Amino acid sequence: MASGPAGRRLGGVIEIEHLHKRYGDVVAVDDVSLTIHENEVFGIIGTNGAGKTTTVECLTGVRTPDRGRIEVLGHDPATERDQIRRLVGVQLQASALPDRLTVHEALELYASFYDDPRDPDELIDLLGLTHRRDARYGKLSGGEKQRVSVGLALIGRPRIAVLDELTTGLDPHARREVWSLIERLKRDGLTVVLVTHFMDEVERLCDRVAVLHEGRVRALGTPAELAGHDRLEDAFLELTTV
Amino acid sequence: MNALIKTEAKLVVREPIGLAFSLLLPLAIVLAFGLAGSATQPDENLGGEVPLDTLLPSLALALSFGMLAIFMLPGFMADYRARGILRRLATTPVHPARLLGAQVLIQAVIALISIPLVLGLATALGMNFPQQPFTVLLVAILGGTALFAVGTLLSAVVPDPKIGWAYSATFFFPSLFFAGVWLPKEQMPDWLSRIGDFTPLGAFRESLENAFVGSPQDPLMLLTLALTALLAGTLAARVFRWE
Repeated sequence: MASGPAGRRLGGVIEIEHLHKRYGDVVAVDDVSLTIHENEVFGIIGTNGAGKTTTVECLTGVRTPDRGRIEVLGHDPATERDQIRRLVGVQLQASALPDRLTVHEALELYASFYDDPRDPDELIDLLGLTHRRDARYGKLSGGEKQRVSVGLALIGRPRIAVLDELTTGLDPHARREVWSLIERLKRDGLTVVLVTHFMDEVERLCDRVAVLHEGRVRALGTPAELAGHDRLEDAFLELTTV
Repeated sequence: MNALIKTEAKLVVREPIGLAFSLLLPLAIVLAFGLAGSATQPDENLGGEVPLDTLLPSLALALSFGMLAIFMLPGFMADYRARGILRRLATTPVHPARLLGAQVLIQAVIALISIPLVLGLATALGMNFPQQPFTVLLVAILGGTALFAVGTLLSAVVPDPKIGWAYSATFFFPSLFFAGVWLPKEQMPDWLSRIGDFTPLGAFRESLENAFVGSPQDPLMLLTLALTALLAGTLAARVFRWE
């Protein structure tokens, strides 16, 4: 399972080789190769349309690549979706629950999908939502909704969490809460793939980061390496301006 | 699966307006028209039938089943699609088809509950109890399957609740006409009435009425229901958008 076509064992928990995906005439991902290691927080940044979301959709099995090879914990997301869905927790967007469902009901429901889930009440504590346990989803603030959404991604005790636009739309206070949550989860051994366009988020959370531009990896390294002597934001703008 | 059914049931109950419309409006129709003294007398406009024994209860059941299958089910599924809930579920070990299954089950159970409610109220108002109660149940199951297949087909494609409502209304209101809700079928030209016999809601109501009065079933209408169930169900399975 954990070997490539040539029989060699791959190094990371996620291996992407020469990924290519187009929608009609639009090439979303041209040629992306990445290795993501165990217990690292890996950032994927880029402008809109750079191919970030398509890349993570391919590695969670939501989309099937046109070309290239992906291995996630030894499984091919396109053909072994059942395994991927047990091992990878996904946070796609904030508003993915019915308004009339309470926080506890939502986490309890998603817990029922997995063999060995976390305890919903413990997770609610960890998310700092204890006082909102019985509040309906539709009544929550943006930050609270986002934390529920992160909770749904974590309820099944995934080995990898894929978080797409984790803090978009949050106020500074709520962002910091979500950030410290991610840091705590990393200490517990989680591997995180973080799609974002916030440079401060990358600098604070990510061990390594890939800059995607026009469907290709434009740069890869630690936030400090990418920034060099500049601020990360300036380096990013330089990398993604044609 | 049980947790999903439980959760969906809670959500349906928390949407009381839709539920009230589906269960109480048909009862209100039976009550309003059934209270009139003429409801228990043979009506020449209906070819000599007694409205409370035939038209009113079959109409109420057709309305109830129709609203649950054609409005409630696609309404919930359209909301789930628009909010990204189907897409979100596709990343868990539970396929979003289970969510559809839970919704169909719950709406179908509510439809079944409407049968004793409608018959109970009509009986209290003086209805002669159906001649063929077992056939009523069989027709309800067949007709319900056909209507829920149409509802599933609508659910398969509607992108959001607003457009979903438009699709449902486009199907439902002409169906009501052909089922004889706006104008009794006995007063329609023969050809128009016959077309109505081959629409799902029309065939359903007419077959129910036959079972109420003990008339023989029209095999073509039963075939209409079976074919609707088969075709709409198959098409829905092919085109359902799980994202």
